[in-house]
Amino acid sequence: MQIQHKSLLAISVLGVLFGGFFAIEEWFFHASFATTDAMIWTLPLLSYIFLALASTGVSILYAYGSLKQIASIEKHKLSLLGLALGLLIGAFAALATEMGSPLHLFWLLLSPNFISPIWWMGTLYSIELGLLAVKLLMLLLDKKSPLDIYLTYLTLAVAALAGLVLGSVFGTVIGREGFSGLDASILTLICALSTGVAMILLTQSGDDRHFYISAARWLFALLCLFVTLKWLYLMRAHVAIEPQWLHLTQLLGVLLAWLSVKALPRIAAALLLVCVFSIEFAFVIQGQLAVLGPKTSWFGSVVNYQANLAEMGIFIFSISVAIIAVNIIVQGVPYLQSRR
Amino acid sequence: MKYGMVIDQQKCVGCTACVFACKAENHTPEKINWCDKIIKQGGRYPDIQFEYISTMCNHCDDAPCVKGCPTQAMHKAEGGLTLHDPDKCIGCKACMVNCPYGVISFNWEKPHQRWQSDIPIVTGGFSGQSMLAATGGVGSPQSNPESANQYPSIRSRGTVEKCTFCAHRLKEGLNPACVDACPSKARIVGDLDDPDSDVSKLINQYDGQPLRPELGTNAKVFYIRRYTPQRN
Repeated sequence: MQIQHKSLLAISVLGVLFGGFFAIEEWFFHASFATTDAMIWTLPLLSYIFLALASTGVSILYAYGSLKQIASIEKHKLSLLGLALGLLIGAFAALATEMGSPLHLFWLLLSPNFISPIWWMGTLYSIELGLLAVKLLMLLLDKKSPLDIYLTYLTLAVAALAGLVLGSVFGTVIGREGFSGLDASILTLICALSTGVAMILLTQSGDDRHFYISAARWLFALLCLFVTLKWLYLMRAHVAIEPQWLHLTQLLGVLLAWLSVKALPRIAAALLLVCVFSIEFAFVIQGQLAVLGPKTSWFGSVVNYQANLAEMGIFIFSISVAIIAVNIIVQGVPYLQSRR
Repeated sequence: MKYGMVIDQQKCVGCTACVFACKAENHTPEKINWCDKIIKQGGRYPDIQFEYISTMCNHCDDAPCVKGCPTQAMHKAEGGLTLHDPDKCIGCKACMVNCPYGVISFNWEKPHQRWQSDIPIVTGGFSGQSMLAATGGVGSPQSNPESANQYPSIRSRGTVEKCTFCAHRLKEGLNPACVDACPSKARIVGDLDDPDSDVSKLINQYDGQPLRPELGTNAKVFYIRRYTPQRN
């Protein structure tokens, strides 16, 4: 078996070791993140959100393309499935550290609260993981089943719902102006689709990318429009004081990615991913900047946040896990098929 | 039966007796206060403003923490109390983000570590362990076995906790510890479903309002006679 991307894989293994140290520290020894009772959700959760939404976007594009029998998607089924699955595995790796134990991901399913957006989000992403795994297995075994089309419809529906529900985790928080509202779900879905297509553009080469470039132009434009509207709305709303340069930079970044995606698809995709990460980061943090209620550990009503080394380690850990998982799937499946 | 509390702002002198009584009763970890206070100050001299608001879990009827909790760890219980089951808590912190009053705390580190130490607090004095050995007790020497019937006195790392309205005391027909400890009787607990209860009468008489009523959480802690002195 010829292993490709050896350098990237070697860096990813180092990333797993580096971030894994902090994951083990968090799971078994003591709290190492910069979280407090005011800044509750930080970079580890954001790593989960970013990867889960990227996986959602890839899943939606993959399922839509399969149903519409778009040639470029049919041709790259394995790499798209591998990308969606690998990103989701990376997302779950980040979430497992954020929640203090990998076992907590399973406990979530056992005592359901059907009105909790977090329960639905966890359950939908678990179903998504299962569906993608089944699709991959069918591909590996070269099984053709009449159920396949239903599985693809289900994958599309579950991915879209998961993306929306992830936003509702924040959108249903009535006590925090920065989170509350339907726009949270719209933001996560648009971010999911944009990052999904950007991930595909970044990882695939060849001349058959017209569908993705066309999708990217629409989706990047949609994101650009939404970010502009949100920024204009926030400028007039009563929310925590934020530096305006950040919004402007994000907006210009998305605009530049949109304008350059046809000529420089990979560079535009990379730029878009950085911008979306920044947008999601700002969204998660700004809702928590105003402290609610009494707390004993600090004095003041507005806090700030800077990720510490352990949190950056978890970010690297989850990205590295995702890269390794994607490569294992994309390179391992053809090898296993050839062995059969 | 629906438990509620009234806090009379003009009787409250800000002595924090409620905070200490709660700590002793419920053995809350070092950095966690179930019963706490918000101190607001503002304005410019001579028109300054100062407000001391004693606060705790509001046991909302429409509790955002209960809605947000994915595992039913945070749940509604008898008497309308909002209680927490640490065995079901997965540490997702959704309740903390959802609580509009910021009164849910997280055990970031392993709580109650000091009682396990062999080092005496003062030279020649007791350590946590030697006190337990001398008294034949279990757990922490500071913990209250009565409250431990309702809620574990030694908590786990990675779970949240909050005020229970002293559910273990209410069960026995007693007041919450903060109510009994208040020297100026600023806190009154009772049945909100009973129009003749003291709490219902006070809320009606003084138009008692909960914190952030605009959110529609139907909080069960009401504040009356907000201290707003007027200059003649």
